Amino acid sequence: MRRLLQSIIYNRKVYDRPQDEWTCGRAAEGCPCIYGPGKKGECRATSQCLPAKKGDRWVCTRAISLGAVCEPGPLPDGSCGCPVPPCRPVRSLRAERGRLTWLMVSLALGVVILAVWGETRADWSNPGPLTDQHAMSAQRCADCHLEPAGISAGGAARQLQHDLLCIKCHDLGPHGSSPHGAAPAELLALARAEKPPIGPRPLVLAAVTATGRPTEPACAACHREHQGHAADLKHMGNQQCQACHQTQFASLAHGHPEFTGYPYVRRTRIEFDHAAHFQKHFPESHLTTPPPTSCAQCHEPAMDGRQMLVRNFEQTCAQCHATQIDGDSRASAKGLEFFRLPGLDTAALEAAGLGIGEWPAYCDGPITPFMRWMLEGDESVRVAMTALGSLNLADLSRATPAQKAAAAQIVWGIKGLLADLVTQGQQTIMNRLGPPATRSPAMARPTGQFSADVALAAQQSWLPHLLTEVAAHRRGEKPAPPAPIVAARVAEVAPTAVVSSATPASAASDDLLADPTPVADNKAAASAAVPVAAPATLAFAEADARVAQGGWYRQDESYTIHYRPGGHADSFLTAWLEGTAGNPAPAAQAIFAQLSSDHAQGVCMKCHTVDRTAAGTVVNWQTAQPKPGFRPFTTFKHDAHFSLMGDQGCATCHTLDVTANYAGSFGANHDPAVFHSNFAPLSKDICAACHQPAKAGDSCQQCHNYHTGEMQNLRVRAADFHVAPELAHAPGSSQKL
Amino acid sequence: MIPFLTRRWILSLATAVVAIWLGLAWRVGWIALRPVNMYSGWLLFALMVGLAFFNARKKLPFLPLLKASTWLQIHIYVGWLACLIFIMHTGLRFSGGRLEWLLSLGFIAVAASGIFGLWLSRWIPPQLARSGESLIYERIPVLRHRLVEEAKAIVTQAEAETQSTTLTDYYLRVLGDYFARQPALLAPLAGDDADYHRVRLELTSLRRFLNEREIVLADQIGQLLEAKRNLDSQLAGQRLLKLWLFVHIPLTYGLFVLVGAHVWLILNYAHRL
Repeated sequence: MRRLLQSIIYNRKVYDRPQDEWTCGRAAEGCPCIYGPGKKGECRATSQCLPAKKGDRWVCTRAISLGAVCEPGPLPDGSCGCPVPPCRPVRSLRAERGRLTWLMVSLALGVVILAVWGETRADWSNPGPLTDQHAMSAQRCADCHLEPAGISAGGAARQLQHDLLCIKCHDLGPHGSSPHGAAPAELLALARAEKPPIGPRPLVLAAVTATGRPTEPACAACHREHQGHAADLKHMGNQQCQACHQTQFASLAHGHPEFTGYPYVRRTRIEFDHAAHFQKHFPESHLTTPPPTSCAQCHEPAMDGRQMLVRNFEQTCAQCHATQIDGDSRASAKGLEFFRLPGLDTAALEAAGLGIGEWPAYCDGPITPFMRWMLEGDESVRVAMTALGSLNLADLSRATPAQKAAAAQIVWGIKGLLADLVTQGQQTIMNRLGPPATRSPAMARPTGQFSADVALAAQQSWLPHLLTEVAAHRRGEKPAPPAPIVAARVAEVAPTAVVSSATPASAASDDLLADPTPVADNKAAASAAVPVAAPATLAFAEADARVAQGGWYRQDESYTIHYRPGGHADSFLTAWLEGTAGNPAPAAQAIFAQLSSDHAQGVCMKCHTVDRTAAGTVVNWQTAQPKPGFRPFTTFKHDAHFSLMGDQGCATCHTLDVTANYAGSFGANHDPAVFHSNFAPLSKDICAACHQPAKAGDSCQQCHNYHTGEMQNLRVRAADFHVAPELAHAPGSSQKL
Repeated sequence: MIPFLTRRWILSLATAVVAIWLGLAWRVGWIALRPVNMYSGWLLFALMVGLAFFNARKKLPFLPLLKASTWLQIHIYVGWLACLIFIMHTGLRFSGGRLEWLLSLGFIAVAASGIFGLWLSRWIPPQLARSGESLIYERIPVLRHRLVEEAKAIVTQAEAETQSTTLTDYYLRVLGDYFARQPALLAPLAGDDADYHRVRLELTSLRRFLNEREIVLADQIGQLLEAKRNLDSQLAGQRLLKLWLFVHIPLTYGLFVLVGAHVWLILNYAHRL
């Protein structure tokens, strides 16, 4: 039978007080007193009972649980006969636990004091290490956080204030805080174009609950700092990307919208018909070296491996097209007409009593577009040209007196222009283009190293008295009657050509420049202007052939000064094409039309295109180049995919579409968004074949950027902080945490 | 009254449903770029306050605030929910901030001690009920003292009646130490009963040297040994049931102080609330 230790007899039980702070010091010995310690831990035991007086006797009142009446009984003075020696009370378990609790609270408070007010508070309150890039740029908490004293608003205002601190360093453009950097109107249009929710239910629910400020999500909504040195600040889940999108889908393979025209959305900057070249030109060509057989012969990846660049002209097109640009293969004039003495109805002017001085009798042809631009630089001539209207200077028979006067004014303008070209040279061209401040940046060097000596030789041949006549005209004097001119016949004997930069002025030219006195005899002047007649056994080559590497020459038969381009990327042609492409003035457009025609010297516009958009007009001299400050919405890394190509090489993805109207994208079209590539658009299935969760991954961020557009100042501008005024003056903004 | 197992199933199921709902809500909020960490933080704080009120409720027995056993059930299942919210809130990423690290460590310690206490409270009481008489913890020293006195009385009686010191020697050599010894702190976990069996084996082997009277008295000593064994079992089990609270409760209050600092820092420095 099991022995019971506890008594269940009510008067044998000892009253326990486990809730008390103190317990009797003798409890551990098994004999605690019945009184127990006081509240402050003092021992209250003196005796086992308080004897009671009955009559004249003291009787013991010890409790039954302690043994009832004791043997010795009370002492005669009424004190207990079983005195209890005092003990040292001990704390109860509950009290010990309470003390430990207070100790723990005190320790925690100490930690908090360290974290908030201590010398090392930055270390304590910092929730975790910053990423390396922010650790290097942020010097104190207030660089990225509003100081406590500066925080008065919550919600949107608080978010905006913090976002401004982010934008202080990260300039994301005018709509930087807007999704994808798009303007609100653009976002609205995109949202309307999207389909209603059809995606997985969590995404639909998320789209419903994303009721914050969808047009301006907080920077901190996606970028979570203090997650460690190597944390990925740009990490986003696929589903998070779709929280704002009305069309939601499960993965790239399932639900992602089909590509539309990717990647051939923008027109190529160089017009190059791959289909025509591979199917027609290359097989038919008789090149010294074999035509390209692989894409890599003309294309190479950019430094970052993303874009495929076109190799330079010399490595690609030059083998076939260099002679077209130089003009060697041209049957017509190899140089373009820069200046001409136009055909003039001198008889009509003389009949009207309008003196124009000397003028060659056999001039023909109109004013060149270059002359027109430069003449319009003179206000009086510009007015005269307006007054003349569409009348031809060579036929003034039906001109009114006013128009004849205007024609005379124009003739003097032409003579003045030639005189200035002779005497001032290249500076004349620059002056006629207008003040530098109003000049297009593209026209910084438009002279093509113009040779004043060519102009001088032409003047001496065509208009020997030009300088004195123009000087007299500018003084307001009437011109002397013109003498007969036979210079053109002289030129046939010795045409002049001058290489643009290196040709020194002749001794005769120097003399003439030193002494502008007109030559009295035209024949003598012509003789002085031309080189000494060559021996009969030598013959002059054609004028344009003598500047085969490019330069200036004159042709006396047509009274013109020509410029022959000096090969690919000729500075004269590029400057004038770029300077006039976006200029709506008729004279500028006439020059552009002349230079951009299919038969123009240099044939620049046969390959190079012009983009005319709302942002302006751009002549595409370069093929597509990486733009470090530009982040597209869709990005692709070519070099990461080279090892995945099949036997077809690049054609694994890029297949020719011979039916496309590639040429229709060019010509009269200058909108780069209108494009018919001669490659078939990529299908989503090509990417989805590998980009699956278990293979190459199908994260949105593998192909798409969130922040898009021009971000020239994305990098931290440590020395160029622009703090918004409301932040600069915010209370506590200068405090250091 | 609902049976224990049924009640456990019902409450576990309800907790699981709430946990799944919270998990889904957190996931949807995370996808929607909502400040889910802020939400989960406030929710966790509220749950912790509710959990801590269980301790306060025990100090306020006069208030009509449900039964303590009901509070315990709430405490247990809400505690499990709090652990889930903690995982959501931190993502189990401890980024290295000192305060945050202490905070996480504190929560884990409180939760772990709570789970340990829950296990103890489910494991030890049945063992104690099986081992023998249920005793009040505070009275155990008195009972041990009484056992010692009784043992002394038996061996004294044996020596007086039989003029033999066999049992007296046994008491001096073995029993005295055994009755004075307290069980080890984690004895219930280790199943530490070796002392009892050693003493009992020695008493049994002693019987061949005893006369009839001594054998009767030795049997009484055997009953005392059995009582001491139960006493030790009760002491060790109940002590463990009380001592785990020495970790759980102090850490809880310390944790609240750290949570207060954490909330203050978040309110002042978070980019969005």
